[in-house]
Amino acid sequence: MSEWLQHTLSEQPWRNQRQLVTTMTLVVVVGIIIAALYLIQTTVTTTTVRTLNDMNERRARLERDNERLRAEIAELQSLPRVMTKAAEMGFREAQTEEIQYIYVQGYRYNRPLFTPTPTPAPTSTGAVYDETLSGWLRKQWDNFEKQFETWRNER
Amino acid sequence: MIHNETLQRRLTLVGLGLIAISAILLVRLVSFQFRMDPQIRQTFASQAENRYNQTVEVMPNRGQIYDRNGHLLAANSFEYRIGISPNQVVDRQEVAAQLAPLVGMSEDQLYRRLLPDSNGVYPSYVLLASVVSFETGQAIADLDIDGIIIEPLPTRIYPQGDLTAQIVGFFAGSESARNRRGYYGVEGFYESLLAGQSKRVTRSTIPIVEERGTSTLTVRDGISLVLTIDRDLQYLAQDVLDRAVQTHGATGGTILVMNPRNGEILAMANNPTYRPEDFSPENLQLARNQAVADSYEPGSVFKVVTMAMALELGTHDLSWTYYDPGCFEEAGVTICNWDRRSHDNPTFAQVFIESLNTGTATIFKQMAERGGGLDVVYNMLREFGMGSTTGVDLEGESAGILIEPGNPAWNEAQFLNNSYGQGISVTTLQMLTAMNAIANDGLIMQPHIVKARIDGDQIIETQPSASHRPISEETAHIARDIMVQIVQDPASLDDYSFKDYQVAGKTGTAQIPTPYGYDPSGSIASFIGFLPADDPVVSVLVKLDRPVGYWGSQTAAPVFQELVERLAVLMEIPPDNERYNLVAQGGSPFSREY
Repeated sequence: MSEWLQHTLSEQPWRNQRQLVTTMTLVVVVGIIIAALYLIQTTVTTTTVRTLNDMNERRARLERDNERLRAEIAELQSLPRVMTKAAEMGFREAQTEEIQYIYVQGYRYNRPLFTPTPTPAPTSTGAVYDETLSGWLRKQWDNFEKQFETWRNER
Repeated sequence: MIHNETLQRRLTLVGLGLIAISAILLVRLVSFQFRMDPQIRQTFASQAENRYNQTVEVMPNRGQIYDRNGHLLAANSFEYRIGISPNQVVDRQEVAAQLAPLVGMSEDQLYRRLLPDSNGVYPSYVLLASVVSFETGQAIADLDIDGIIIEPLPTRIYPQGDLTAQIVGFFAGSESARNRRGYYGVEGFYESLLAGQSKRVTRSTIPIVEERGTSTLTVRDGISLVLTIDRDLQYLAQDVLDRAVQTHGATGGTILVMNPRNGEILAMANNPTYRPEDFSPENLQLARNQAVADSYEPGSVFKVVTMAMALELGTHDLSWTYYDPGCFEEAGVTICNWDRRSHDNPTFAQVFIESLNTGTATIFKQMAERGGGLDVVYNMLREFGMGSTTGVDLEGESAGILIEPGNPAWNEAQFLNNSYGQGISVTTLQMLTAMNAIANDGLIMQPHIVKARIDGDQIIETQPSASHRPISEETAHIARDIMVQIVQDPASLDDYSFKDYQVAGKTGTAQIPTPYGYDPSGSIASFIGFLPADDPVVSVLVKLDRPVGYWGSQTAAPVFQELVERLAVLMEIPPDNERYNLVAQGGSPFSREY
């Protein structure tokens, strides 16, 4: 027993080296885990940003398509076209003597109010993050806050 | 043993050598990081910036332009600039085959552009087409080719074509999106409002970073404009004008329709006009709006201003009369009536009903003599807006020409000529604005073409504002009554009659000045008027350039008649008897907006 204890407690030259190696290995493993987590998060963010970019591009294209369609509709409704079509359908301009005016008690004519088609709102720019650790942490915190807000609104 | 010692020494030397090299590298590294020449540091920093960031300009949507009833007059569209990064292209042959027909190149030509340069390096960007149409750009985007760069370039579409071209103006510029802007008309005048505000954004090429170094400005879309123009009235005016120019063999003309009560321009038709999407120089020469940019000698329509001035100054009244010799010599020139005949002793009203040049010249002369000098007369002319721009919100307005005493070109003969609209130049808009004082109880309203601005959810209406009061309400009513008599004169040879409406008006036949005197071969024929005379809602000026028929009463007047008859139906202005009936029953036909 005393021999075993002595053996255990005695300083062996290789024992210190092994402790050092173990500590370093642990540090490396923890480092690798942190790096892997950071990498995974970065990959997810990158993919999301790419998806967002694609969606932004699609939205811009749809907006351009809409603008184009609006102009096309206006062209199709332009007066020369409408007049030609009306003439084809047998319509003609009314003459003064063909119009009958009647007095309607309490009636007040007002032209319809002008309601223009609203132009799309300018593209809002998202929050600015950078690739530093603090940026990453800020982004996580913002995401967390957003999730919390959604959860609170749902309740 | 000796061998071991030698080896040990050599290893020590090698070790020392490696340590020295590492130390040098470390020192250089530290010096690059911390103690570098600021210029070198800046160069490296900018190289790094260029490698990882790109600065782009986020362009706002340009404001749209509508007529008063919400019909689109100018809309946004896009063209595209096509480029490619050859270093990202995998199958060059296939890409060349797909793109060649779309960018207007041969397949071989395009394939060569995708090859590396003489140093064997693939360029990061090659321009394939500086401008392709919207449809072509969309077709290229649909191909989803790796490395293709499709850059949208804003452009404009004018759905009403040439109908409102000179009012709206056009949008053009270089191939860069930043250097495009509006020219002429509303596009030019309201460029800064329509354009909005762009923003420069520096984006990282690393997708994780969305934006960095953004400017503090925000992207702000351009403000959309609602014009006072009524597209239907504009079409009517253009249709009537185009046919009149053809029928009367005129070289051109203008029809201007306004609401004298608030200064709104309802229609502004010119002939010739231009196509707003054709940028050829010969087409763009016609882009200026003649109604505001071109001045001309108005001739007898100007007599309504003379009449109002004389009544306002109090130098003349309805009882005034003079002897008309038909022609007389004054200030070295001979002034004659249009028929060169004497009209005996015409009254003040008859001078204008019969359009007597001798009468207006006499009135002008007496105005200066009895009213307090030439200055009084010229002050009145300026009050009517002569010689200065009206301030209308259209690009390229001309001030006309009013030559006053003190100017070397001034002489007394010219002063007398001014009384019947010769020797003075005005734009169509100036002339109608001046007459609007008579229609609007003596008050000139600021002419304007923008009815409202749309800024996001906000609609900001333009409030009508008074510009001048050159004459009193009483003077305006007397002048108006004389203008009604001019139209209703049973002895008139004028080729028009208005059976349903009381119209106030005046014809004009102006000679055309040249550097060598007046051109005997042509005239500017015009008619100016408003209706209903007792409660005007619309004022109109018709002008024909060099009509074959020469006289305003024979050419412009019938055009005016046709226009107002159709315009009254379109604007739902009841005939006078119907209107009086409606009023007798308690109705208020003009309480609505016109």
